[in-house]
Amino acid sequence: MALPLIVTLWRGLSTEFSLWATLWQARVLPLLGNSLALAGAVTLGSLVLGVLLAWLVERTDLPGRKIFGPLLVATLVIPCYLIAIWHVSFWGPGGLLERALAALLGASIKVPTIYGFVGAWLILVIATYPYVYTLARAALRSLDPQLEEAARSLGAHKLKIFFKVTLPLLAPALAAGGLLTAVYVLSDYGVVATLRYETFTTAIYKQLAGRYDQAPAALLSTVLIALTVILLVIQQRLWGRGRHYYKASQRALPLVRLSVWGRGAAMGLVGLVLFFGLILPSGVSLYWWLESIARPNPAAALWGSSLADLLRYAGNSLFSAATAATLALVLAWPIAYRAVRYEQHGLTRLAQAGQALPGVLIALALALLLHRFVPSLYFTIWALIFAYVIRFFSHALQAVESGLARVPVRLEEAARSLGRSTVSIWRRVTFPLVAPSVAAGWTLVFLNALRELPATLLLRPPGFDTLPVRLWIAAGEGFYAQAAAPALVLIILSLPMLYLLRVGDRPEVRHGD
Amino acid sequence: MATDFVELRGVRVRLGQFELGPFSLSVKKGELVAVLGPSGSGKTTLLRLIAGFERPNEGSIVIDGHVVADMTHWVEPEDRGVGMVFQDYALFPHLTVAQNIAFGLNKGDSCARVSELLKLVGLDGFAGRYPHELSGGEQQRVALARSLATNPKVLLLDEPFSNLDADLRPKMRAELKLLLQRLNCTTIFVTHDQEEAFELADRVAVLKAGRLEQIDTPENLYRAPATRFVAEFIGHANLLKGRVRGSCIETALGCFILTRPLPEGTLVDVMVRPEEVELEALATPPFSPSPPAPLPSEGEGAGVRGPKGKGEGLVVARRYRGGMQLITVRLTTGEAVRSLQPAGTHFPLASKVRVRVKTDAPLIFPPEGL
Amino acid sequence: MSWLKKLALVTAFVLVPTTLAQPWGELVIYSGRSEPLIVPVIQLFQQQTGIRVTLQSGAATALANLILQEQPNPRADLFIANDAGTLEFLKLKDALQPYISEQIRKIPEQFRARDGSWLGVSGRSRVIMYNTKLLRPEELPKSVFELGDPRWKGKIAMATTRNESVIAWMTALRLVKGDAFTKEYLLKLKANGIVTLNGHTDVRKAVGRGEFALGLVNHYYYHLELRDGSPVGVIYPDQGPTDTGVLVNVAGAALIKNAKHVREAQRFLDFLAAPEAQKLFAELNFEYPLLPGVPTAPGVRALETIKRMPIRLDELGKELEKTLKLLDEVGLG
Repeated sequence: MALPLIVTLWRGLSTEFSLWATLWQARVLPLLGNSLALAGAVTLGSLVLGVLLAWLVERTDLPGRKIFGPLLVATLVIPCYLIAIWHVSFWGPGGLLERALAALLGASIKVPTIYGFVGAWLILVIATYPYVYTLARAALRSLDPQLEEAARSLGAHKLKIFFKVTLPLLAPALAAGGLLTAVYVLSDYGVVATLRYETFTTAIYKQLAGRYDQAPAALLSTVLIALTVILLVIQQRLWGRGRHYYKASQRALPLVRLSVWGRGAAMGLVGLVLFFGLILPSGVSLYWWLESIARPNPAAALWGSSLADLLRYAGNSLFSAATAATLALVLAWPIAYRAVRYEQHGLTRLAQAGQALPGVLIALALALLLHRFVPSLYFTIWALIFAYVIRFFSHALQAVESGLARVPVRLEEAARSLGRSTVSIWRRVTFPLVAPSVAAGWTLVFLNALRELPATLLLRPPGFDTLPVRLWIAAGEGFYAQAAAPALVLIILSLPMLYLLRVGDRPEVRHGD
Repeated sequence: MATDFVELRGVRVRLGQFELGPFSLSVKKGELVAVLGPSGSGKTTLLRLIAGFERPNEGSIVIDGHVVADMTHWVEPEDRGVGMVFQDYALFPHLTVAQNIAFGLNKGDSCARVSELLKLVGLDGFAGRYPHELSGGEQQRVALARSLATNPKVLLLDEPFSNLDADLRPKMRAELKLLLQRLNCTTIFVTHDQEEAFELADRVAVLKAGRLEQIDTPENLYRAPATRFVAEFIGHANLLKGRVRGSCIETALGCFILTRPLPEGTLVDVMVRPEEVELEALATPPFSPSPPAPLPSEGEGAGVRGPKGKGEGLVVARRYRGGMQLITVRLTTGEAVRSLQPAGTHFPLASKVRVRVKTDAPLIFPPEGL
Repeated sequence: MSWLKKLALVTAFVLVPTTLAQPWGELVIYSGRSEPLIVPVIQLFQQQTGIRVTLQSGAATALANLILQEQPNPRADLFIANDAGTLEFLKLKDALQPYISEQIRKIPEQFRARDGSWLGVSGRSRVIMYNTKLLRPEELPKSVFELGDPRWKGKIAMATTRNESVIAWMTALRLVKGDAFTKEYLLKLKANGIVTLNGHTDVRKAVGRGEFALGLVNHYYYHLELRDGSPVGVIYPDQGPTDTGVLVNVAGAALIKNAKHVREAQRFLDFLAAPEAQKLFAELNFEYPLLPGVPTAPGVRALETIKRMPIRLDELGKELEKTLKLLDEVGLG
């Protein structure tokens, strides 16, 4: 699993120094600036938004907070490149909004451009705030209410309590959420490519797709990996530190009463977020789909958007995602078992390396490896499936680990004392108890693989198109009506994610970049 | 009457299913009052009412002459000047000991005050530690120092010793008592441990299911419990069924003198403390194998034996407590009576004993269910 | 269902032959062309011959890379590219096999490899398209070299530099004007905030919408956008007597070395050189048919009236890698 990481680093570091020198000024520095600026701004934005929303839902008398609570995570159902694509088709030049304005007012009004930093920032904040939101919600819930009461009894007023008690106590969760966001932004390809903002991932993709010499791509990848690894190391540190802060408590804190204005503003904010993240993207998909039906484009056949084609793409997507999910869990089981039962975590950490790598990099590394060592697998769906497994293996591992951790080793020992063999114990005791976790892990890998874009674009074998690939290519050339059907199918297939979110409020659900 | 420093008048609060009050309670300046009751009796809610974390539905709360809560007034907890030590201390985990103590202080004068308080609670040199690096007792002292830092008018302690190891409690109790006496701080603390309440408090308030049963000095509570519940909750009380006949009350242990006039035939319960019950071994075999438990004096058991009541029964249980043993005797009527005896005396299980009560003016309660 | 059965089922599912999910045709084509521009031609071929075709569309350079990596056991039989340079590059890397037939000989020699390694199928010239609502005729640039002028700052779009048409154009600039000049020119464009979009379709639509005043495209993109009803015009730059002229490149096809379906691939090449396909390219896509006698689509400026850059197409292949290196140095996306 860590092989792609090693291969890429090796390739990058073994490039000639002159190449480093040439690329440093022309490519690396501007890209570093772009990527870091975006990652920083998005992290800040989603921290503020995520905490605010979590606080509104958990701690105030916001009307409808029971519904908004889960709904605010539901934006994860729509892959974030889709959110980006539909926003562009709505706000972009000559988009739906300008068309509607022209039809209504008769005058052509230019909407300020969505492309570039601001647009990418906005979309990514909408796409990533759920990570912070779920973590902040969980943290708010597990926060010992007595701490805030103690602060009050010491004479501290609300603002002081928030900044000196609540916020510092949320800090570990927020740091984890923030870093998750930053890593996500660094690895995102779909959103930045759609919104024409150049980062490392788009640059690497362009290098891969448009150059014969892959040394520059490997070099850029090395820098990106370095960035990501730094962030992940910090995240691990912070996560460990925050643990002992939490204490389960029975008593719930009284809800903060919002004033009429506060209530209005809060509802407005929640509405806006849901509009941007959920309503607009799904509405626009529906619009384009209806348009493709109402006004069939004669060129539609060329785009392969017939029902038969659609079913084929869906079949491809389902097959590769399901296979990847199954494979990931089969591989995860022994590793997780070893880690949980024998406390050997080294292998686990190594196996999670894939998580740190953007899809583009995994594709690059896998292509290099397979081409050199297993050419018969090169550009087959197995290469693709293998890429999915590497990329989302950590989900499978975490799911099995958390499941196993909940099965006391005493149970297995009891079964052994009753004369059962290891396999029999796994089958009759361990597995039934871990099954829900395994199912959740499977679904998580499956859904993430289903919506995976960058690695699929680079690794798919000839003639093997998945739903994301189809809609990406169609939307990339501006044929939104042809992108609508695969997009809708993808959203519908992603709906089980809602269930997962309901079950665990999982921050590890990815957005499919 | 001395000044009432903290006063609850007709306070009632509803929290979901649970209802507390209505009751009234007043605490004098410098007094140490314990609130005693089984879990779920509303002790903590009472503290939270005074601290301002719960709002009364009825009644008013006055602290130092100011109404802090009634139907028209409301003072937020942060403005009440009430210090609270929470059951699990609620130390801020992200702050050091010194930062915890200084939390309620203004920046300017905090440094000197913190070291003064650390000295007071005997935690010099702990200033830089984090709460999770402290033992339970140390955490408790930090929590105490923190709440004392702001010079609260009233100090509230919620089960201050419940999170400590059993062997640590007596020591901590003694320390706390000394400290509070030195500070002459008006203190209300909550506990479910009778021993704790009696050792520390000037007065003890007994709570049951949201109602105040009695508030008095420990001695009076023991001697003259106002209710049957108090009688049973504090110490071990034997409650014997009795019936008024003439000027006395007839029980399984004989006749007691009626201390106040009651109509003939009234059913009452008579309270006798275990230390007032004397036992005398009877010369019968210690163990009788015959299936029906020996109940030899069936005919005369209920009879009147003179001014001091006495009866016979079998020893069915023995429990050692310190230098004493608590012996449970099943009387021939089926009632059980407990007696406190020195550990040295020998009353084997299943041996037959004669039971005698030393007092002749016991407390009388209406029977259960009435 | 016991979990053993489930496992067996899952295993069976996993082991479903990959061929089920991956329908290979009799002829496998890697195509760097935009899909709508090649699918009608393939459909016509399938109709005429009954040979099934599997098409893999993608970035031409990526596909060329793939072809190189797959040697000597290629999956694809035929490669279609938008640029003679890419085809020639593959020839130089010994990844192609020559094929010349009577039909192919009818295509003028300047538009195909001398040894028959690749075949030019349709011609296109490198032009500037503009939005007629944003620019008046007197404001139009006459030369691509004017585009470095600050007055065009932020107003120009082009396709990404991984697009082979763009690369070929830059190679041509280097050949005509020299490396130093070209590098300086590209840096000027970059400083001028030239936006590189994913592809030429993006560029033409963006110019058509008025998002950019100017777009660097192949001439047929102008015609396609005009057909869609957008207010666009076209500039054939550098046509003066001392100017460099425009680059006329070809989209072409080549037979891949060690291909498994050589005969079908050869039939496809013959088909591409035949009048029906040539007409399709001209009519559907406003390209210059290369087979003499097939007329250009109405409204398309005849190839003969254009001043062309003095460059041989097979020179582009040799110079390809140097251009890519230059692009990395410049840092144009």
